[in-house]
Amino acid sequence: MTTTVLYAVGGLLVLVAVAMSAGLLLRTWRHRGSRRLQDRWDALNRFGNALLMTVVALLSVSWTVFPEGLWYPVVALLAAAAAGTVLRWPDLAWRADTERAATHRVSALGTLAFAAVAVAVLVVTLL
Amino acid sequence: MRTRPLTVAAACAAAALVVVLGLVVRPHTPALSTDESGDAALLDRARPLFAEGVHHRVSVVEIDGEDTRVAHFGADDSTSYEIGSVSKALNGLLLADMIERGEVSEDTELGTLLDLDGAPAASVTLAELAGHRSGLPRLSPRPLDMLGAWAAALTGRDPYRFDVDTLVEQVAAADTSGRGEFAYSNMGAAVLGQALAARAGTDYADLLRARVLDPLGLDGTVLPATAAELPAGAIVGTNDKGRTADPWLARAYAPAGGVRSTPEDMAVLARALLFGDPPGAGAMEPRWDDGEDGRVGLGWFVDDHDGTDVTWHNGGTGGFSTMLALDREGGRAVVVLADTATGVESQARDLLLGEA
Repeated sequence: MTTTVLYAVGGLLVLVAVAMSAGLLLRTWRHRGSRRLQDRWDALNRFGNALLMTVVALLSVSWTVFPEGLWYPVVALLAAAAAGTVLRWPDLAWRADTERAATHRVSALGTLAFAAVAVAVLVVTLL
Repeated sequence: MRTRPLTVAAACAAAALVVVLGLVVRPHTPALSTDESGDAALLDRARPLFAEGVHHRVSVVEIDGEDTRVAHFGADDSTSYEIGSVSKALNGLLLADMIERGEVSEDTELGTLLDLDGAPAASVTLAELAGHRSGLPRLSPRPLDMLGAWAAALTGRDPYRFDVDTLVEQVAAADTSGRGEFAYSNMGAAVLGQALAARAGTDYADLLRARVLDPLGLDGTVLPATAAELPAGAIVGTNDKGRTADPWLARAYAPAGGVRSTPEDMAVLARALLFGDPPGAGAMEPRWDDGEDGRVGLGWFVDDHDGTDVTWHNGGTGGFSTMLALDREGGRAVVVLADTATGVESQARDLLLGEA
């Protein structure tokens, strides 16, 4: 692949990872409105997605072409999002009293299942 | 709302855990080694060529008539590098040698040497395999094999962990609809070497040693089949993800990319190819077009650069890059060996053609 393509792919993956962590971090600060963490399943789902995208970026970006230094802001944002999630955790119910509560749980379990399948595929194909 | 100290402590611990894990698994892109040795003038010419891109240990061998010059960055004459697809060029020498001996011919069909049970690849000839005109795909198209190659690329593992029986199954399952057209194939090169080994009644590593490596005195050129067989102090490379790459070991795909060699041996090989009478030297003669501007021999490529024919093969494994380039008419050669996945083709050509 050309350097331009590697830059573009790297930029996109890093951007998605940053967006997920930053989005979660903002939600941990908000206590009102629709753009807050709705419940613990919502928090788990969003943190799982941010973690997954960070791992995807780590494994998929050609860091020998894409600026290696950008890895550190990605990690710093994820760390801040993790801290924010833990701080908000005691204030969150396991299940919000909203119509979308079931969606949060399904999404969280889906993220977990996807991660499990991805790990299983890696293990099976590499053994 | 008051935040309890225990929650704050847990939040700090979570953040610290993420930071520590992020630092542990961070990508690492090494810099060109400042531990230099060799010819001072060649070092000065080579150094700027490796200023861009990710390079670490690099060895440059330059042959100009009677003179042999080397320049090392973090390496020495005996550093063992993976030479990747330069193995295919050695494979070509082996084929040409066996043709000269009358053991096979260019038109020998693959199915007469390996049990392909009437698969499309059975009628492919050895010359078609060596010239990348067999129609076989670059890699095995079987879904699980493709998944494995993708997973290996992500994790820096050796993607070619197949035995000969599995390689034959992959070839038997492959489509050859592009036969007659140039299409670079690792699978084709691998099965060519294994077919030659089957013809000789031995394994590929022993055959290459007996027919090519030993006659040339390439004692530092090896085909380690297991990690235990790696040369003492074998260096590891860095892949394009900035991670340490597992060594590529010489299993069924050894003829396509499983050889390790040293600058010292590459100098001997290049000198033999330019001025000697190495086994199978006829492999370097171009026979077919590559569909662009180049021509192809038996495992070798020939490009015209402003009137200079450059006979070459490059190599790339998970963590190493290599380029062997010869100006046969001018009696010049350049070999570049490196322990990162960043290609070194342009540097070798610039040095060979006097543009650096």
